[in-house]
Amino acid sequence: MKVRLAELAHACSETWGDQLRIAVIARRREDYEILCRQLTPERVNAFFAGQIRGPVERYAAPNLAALNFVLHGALGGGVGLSLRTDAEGRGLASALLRMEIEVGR
Amino acid sequence: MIRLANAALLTVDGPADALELIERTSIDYLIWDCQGQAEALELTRRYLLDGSRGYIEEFPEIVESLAPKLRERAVRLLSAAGGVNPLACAREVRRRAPGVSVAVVTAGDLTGRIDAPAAKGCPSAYPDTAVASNGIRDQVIWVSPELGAEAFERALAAGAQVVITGWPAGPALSLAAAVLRFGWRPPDWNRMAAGALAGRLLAGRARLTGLGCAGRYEPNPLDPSCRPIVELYEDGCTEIIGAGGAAGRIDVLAVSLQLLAGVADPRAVETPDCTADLTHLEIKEREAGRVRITGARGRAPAESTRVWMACRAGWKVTGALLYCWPEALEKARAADRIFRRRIERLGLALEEMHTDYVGVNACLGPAAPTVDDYPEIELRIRVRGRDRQAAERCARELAALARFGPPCVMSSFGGSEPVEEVIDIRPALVPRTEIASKVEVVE
Repeated sequence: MKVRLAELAHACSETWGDQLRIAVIARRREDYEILCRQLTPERVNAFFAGQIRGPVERYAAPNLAALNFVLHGALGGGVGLSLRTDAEGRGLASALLRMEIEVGR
Repeated sequence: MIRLANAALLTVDGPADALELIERTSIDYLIWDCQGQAEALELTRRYLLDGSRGYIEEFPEIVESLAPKLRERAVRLLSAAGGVNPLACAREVRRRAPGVSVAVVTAGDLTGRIDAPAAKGCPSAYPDTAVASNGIRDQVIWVSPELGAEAFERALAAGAQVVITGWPAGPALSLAAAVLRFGWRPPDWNRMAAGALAGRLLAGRARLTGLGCAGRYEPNPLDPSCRPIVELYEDGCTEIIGAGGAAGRIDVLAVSLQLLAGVADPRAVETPDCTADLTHLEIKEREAGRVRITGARGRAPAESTRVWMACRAGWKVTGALLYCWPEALEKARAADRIFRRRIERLGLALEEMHTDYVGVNACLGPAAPTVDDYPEIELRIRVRGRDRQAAERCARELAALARFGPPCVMSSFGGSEPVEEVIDIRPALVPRTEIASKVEVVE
């Protein structure tokens, strides 16, 4: 069965030069394993194809049931240079929450 | 134990709420570390218009109103309100509140030294920000490092009631207060990490309450009872509550997200004073609205420290055109095509053009769902280039698009000027040894 990531996790983002850093936290600790399995850096990179240059790195904080993603080349050059309405990429954390996640084994 | 409160919203609250906060919460420190890159850009713009500006202009008046209460309660204010012009900020504070002991913490001028790190074989920039230091020196407006706690501790030790520094400040403001009280020193990295993390909790937009996560929009920091207060203990344990108690909605999720926000590797959160490791933290709700953090680990800071720089980077123009049903999206897309054809025909020297359809994909990008029949769409076209005249020509083209293109119901173009200067703001790394700090006490 597939659900939206939003049902499993919270997310927030901050910029860093031309990087966007997205923190994803499982709503329920028992879902953290699903996030680790499904939210691979490759999948996140493919999800944002056309929006970011990539690549995407992933880091884990199991004690907080969290995964942190670093999206390179994500902001059209950074907050100052970006011509996007969402120059700080705030909407992209929300966009990630629309990803479809397989929750069955 | 020391108690620190986030003062980020003083500029909107005004002095009355700040007085109440001090009165009610018995805090030792107000931490004003509120500014993101967008705010730094705005302050830089003001500084370029008038070299006596570039700091938080409400700040001196607020200090003037707070001064008697700060003295009476022995509350000290550590602030990044200096923006991109901390000395001008301090002068104005002294003029308005002559009885207050003020210290200004600044970095030595790095503007002329941005070539040096590259020469010493240190990466001069993050890989994907690609600063070629050759040729940009004349474009640099300011270079500002993230200073360590030592300089702020010196300012406090000298007796300053109000400490003013510039952007970007950071967790060192809070760590300095802890170091002064508890005498933490290297190699006590774990407790220094705890102090730096306390600083991260007080940074940003007071996001500990009202995270903006699904279903968590109220209460939020605009409600004064929701402002986070951090208690830092001598053993490095940290507790967070809302100024109004349990109503503050501070919980494990809020604290975890605030600590993780903006972090790449949770095992290596770089600060000027130490590298903090978040992966052994225990974050627990001790009682409703009171969260305790233990288990902070730290190690010596990285060899390089982060500096930010702002550079002039050309000119940009923005056009916003609103299209109504029927065929709102079709009209907006046609307008975009027409505009791009005309710009191409003119052969203008531009660096980038970007189109957003607000109401369709400006937030979600490729993840946006498609809708059959949009009631309205705002087309936003932005163009950027080095040549001001080319940008001005684009502004005229956008005005023509609104008048003669597909029928739109409303249009607006940037600010008061048709074109706006582009200011690039970006991080870079330089060796710690290049960074000097200066503390001036203004009686």
